Amino acid sequence: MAIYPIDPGGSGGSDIARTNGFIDYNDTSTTTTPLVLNADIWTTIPNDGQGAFTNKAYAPPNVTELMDSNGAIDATELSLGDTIIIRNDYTITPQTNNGSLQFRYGLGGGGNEYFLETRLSRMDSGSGIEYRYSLSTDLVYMGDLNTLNNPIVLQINSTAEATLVNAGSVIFVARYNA
Amino acid sequence: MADTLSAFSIPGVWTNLNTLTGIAAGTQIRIQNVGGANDVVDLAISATEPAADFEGVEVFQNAPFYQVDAGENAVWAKYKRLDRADVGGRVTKLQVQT
Repeated sequence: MAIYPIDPGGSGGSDIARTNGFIDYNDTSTTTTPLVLNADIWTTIPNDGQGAFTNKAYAPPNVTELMDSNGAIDATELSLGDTIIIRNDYTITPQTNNGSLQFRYGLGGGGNEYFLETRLSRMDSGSGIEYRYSLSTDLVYMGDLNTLNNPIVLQINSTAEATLVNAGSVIFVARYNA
Repeated sequence: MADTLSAFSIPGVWTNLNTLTGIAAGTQIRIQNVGGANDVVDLAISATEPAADFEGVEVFQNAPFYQVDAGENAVWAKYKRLDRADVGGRVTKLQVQT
């Protein structure tokens, strides 16, 4: 490489901005045709990354993608010990009032699937109203190859029939070996 | 060792560092971003001026010196903002040493 940083102290990692980074994936697949959520069914949230606000300008070094075209998080370019912080942004419109929501990440594969699940706030302000879920962050660490090498799907479960519009997800990477 | 050169002003368009500094292309140089906190300098090695949307090697403020090896083509630099704000007519500062 003809242009490279000089690190006389040998400590590395002093240029933090070139170690960590993020990619923001903006979905268009649910913009005009919202995703239908059947009651009490876990439904995978899609993200085609084709939205105008997709931002790959600040990806971590040596990382080209963090999500596949179906909306599953793709950590295969990361390493064991790395951590990702995910901020999802989606809006749900229930057909009946007072539905409850659960969200989960589906991880692993090959018979070793597992889920990280959370309960979201109840949609109790009425039906036909948009409930936006955004700004909260989740943390997933690459503790084993089962997590690292398999797609991480985003899934939602509503007790009320509803529709979902996905704005997208930003995925921040914190490297273990800075 | 050559005396320290005062930092050079880098605008928001690709600027030939060899022309700017008087250091011949192909000479080993070391570069440091001594601009403001949001100032980022894009670097590129190219015989000709890179396209306006070309994305080079980003050097952030307070990053260590970057080295360009001897024997390379001309070195180009461009100022951009970390927050992607329009640079307009502003400049940032770049230390260039042989």
